[in-house]
Amino acid sequence: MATLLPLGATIWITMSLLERSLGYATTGELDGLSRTLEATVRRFYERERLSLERDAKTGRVGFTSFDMDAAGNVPDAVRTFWISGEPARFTLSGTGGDRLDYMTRAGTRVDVYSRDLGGIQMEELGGQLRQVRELVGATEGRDLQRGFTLTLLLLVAVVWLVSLVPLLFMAHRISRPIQELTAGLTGFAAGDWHQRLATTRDDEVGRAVTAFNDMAEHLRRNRERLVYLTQISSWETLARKTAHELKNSLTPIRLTVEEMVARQPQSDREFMQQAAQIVIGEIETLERRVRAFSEFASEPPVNAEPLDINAIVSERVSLLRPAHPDTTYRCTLDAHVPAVLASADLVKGILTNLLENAAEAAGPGGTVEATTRVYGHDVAMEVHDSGPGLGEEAARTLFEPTITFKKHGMGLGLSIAKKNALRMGGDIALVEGALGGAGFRVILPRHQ
Amino acid sequence: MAVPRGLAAQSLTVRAAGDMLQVRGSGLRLIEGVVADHLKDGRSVRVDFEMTILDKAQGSTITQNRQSFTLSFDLWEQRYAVTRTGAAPRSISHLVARDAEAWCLENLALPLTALGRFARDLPFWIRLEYRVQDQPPPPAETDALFTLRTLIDALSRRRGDEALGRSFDAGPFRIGN
Repeated sequence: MATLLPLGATIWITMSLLERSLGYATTGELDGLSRTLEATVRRFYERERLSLERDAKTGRVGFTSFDMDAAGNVPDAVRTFWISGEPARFTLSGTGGDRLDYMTRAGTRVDVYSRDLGGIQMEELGGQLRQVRELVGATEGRDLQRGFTLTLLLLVAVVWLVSLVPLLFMAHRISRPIQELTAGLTGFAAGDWHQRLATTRDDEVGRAVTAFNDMAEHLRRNRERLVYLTQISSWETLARKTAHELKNSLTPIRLTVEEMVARQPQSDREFMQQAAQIVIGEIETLERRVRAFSEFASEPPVNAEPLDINAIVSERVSLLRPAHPDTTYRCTLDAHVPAVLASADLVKGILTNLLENAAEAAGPGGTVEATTRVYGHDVAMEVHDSGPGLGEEAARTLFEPTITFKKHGMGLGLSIAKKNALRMGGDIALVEGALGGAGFRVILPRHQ
Repeated sequence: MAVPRGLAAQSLTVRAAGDMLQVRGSGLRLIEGVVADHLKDGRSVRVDFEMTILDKAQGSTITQNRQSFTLSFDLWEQRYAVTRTGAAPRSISHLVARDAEAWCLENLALPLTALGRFARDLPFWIRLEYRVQDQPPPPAETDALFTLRTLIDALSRRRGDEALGRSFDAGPFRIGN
């Protein structure tokens, strides 16, 4: 419709101008002029004919005689006249018909009388009159207004169609990614958090698609963080209550056992002391677990500040290296990583946990590597080990609390580390190990 | 094109001239009306003649002759010229209209031998048809198949520019007559 309206207006204006311009056609005048000229020239020709015929009969003009029985050079016009059987004939000769010949029979001879027409080239004039009459006839034999109108409409239609094809192509090219974007947004709104769109374009539409993908990824990550933090919150509540209840029970148990040992006669005290030692040992184990639960449930404040992540990684590796003398530590640090905005205590805690785990997984003779690099808009530090790696089930439940895969510890370390990373606006994820074992990536927000 | 059948049988006469069958048409009137106007405007006109000998009215064809002629007009002499086109072209000029028409018919003559037994004693019928077509004007300055001019010409052509033509049926004839 947007193209048809201006097209219609253009056709209307053009046809109006066409109608007016055809009204100025001079074919009629040309027709009249040619007929007048033809009649005038014909009168001149007839007068010259009569004059030549009269002069020929009165002998006032000379003639050339051709003997038709004799073998000689006879002009075609004379020969044709001779064959026709006519008694006399007028023909034009000379340049463009500027001479008039009068042929008569005289026995076996043809006498040709000739007269100059004063430079008037009759054949040339006749040819020009024919052209004019052809032009007039062609014009009269045609409905030029209809012809011009149909031609105009046809050409305009062709031009319009030719223009429409690239227009449709461009419209499709523009609308298709928008339709895909709309479908992507609809799918995303319906809960498909992994909805992403492919684009290779660098224009506004391409930037819109890229923005959608970034937004979707950002929302997905935030949602996962929210879900995880919600779960963690539930687990924290449970851990806090469990720790409180256990703590309330363990203290009187411990005091009672010690009192029981103290009141035993000397003869039974040795056995009782051994038995009490076992019970107290188990109580101390339970107390450690209670402290771990308390630590898990606690939420230390996030005092975010600009941090040199390379310096922290180097410092943590140097600190832990003496504890694992048989493990090789490697640091691959990007000197150009920007400062991160995070809590130094929490970052150190996360790194310590990951490096400790990596050293235990790698074992004596193994290798642990720590790296830093720019990661999109953020900064990533990664810890890889040369250990046996993680199974599928372990990888799936890695960050859930109370799950342990080690002889020592409660299995809460990774949960605490992930919780703290999330609280700082970052994250921790299991990635493909660069040394054949496990690999963890800690993402921290860049300091603007 | 439908060729009108408009003239009475008496319009055509036949005669044997030597070993040829010649036709004459007093009512032919080929050079009249639009054709005459075109010729006097200086245009050439092509006329395609077809003479058919039939064994009876609307009957089967015994023999047939086709000839094409180009007619033109001398503006100053007010005379017609005719050229028989085809394999053996012939020309004649300085003719009045009726003589030009008669010359065309003379050139449609058929050998009597082509009529077979109809040449001796059996009656036969004659159908004479002609179609007139304007000679197309010489091509413009360009030989391109599609130009704006050709497009306008094609779309502005009035109905009625088609070929003119007529048809004569006459008979029965006998050579003896």
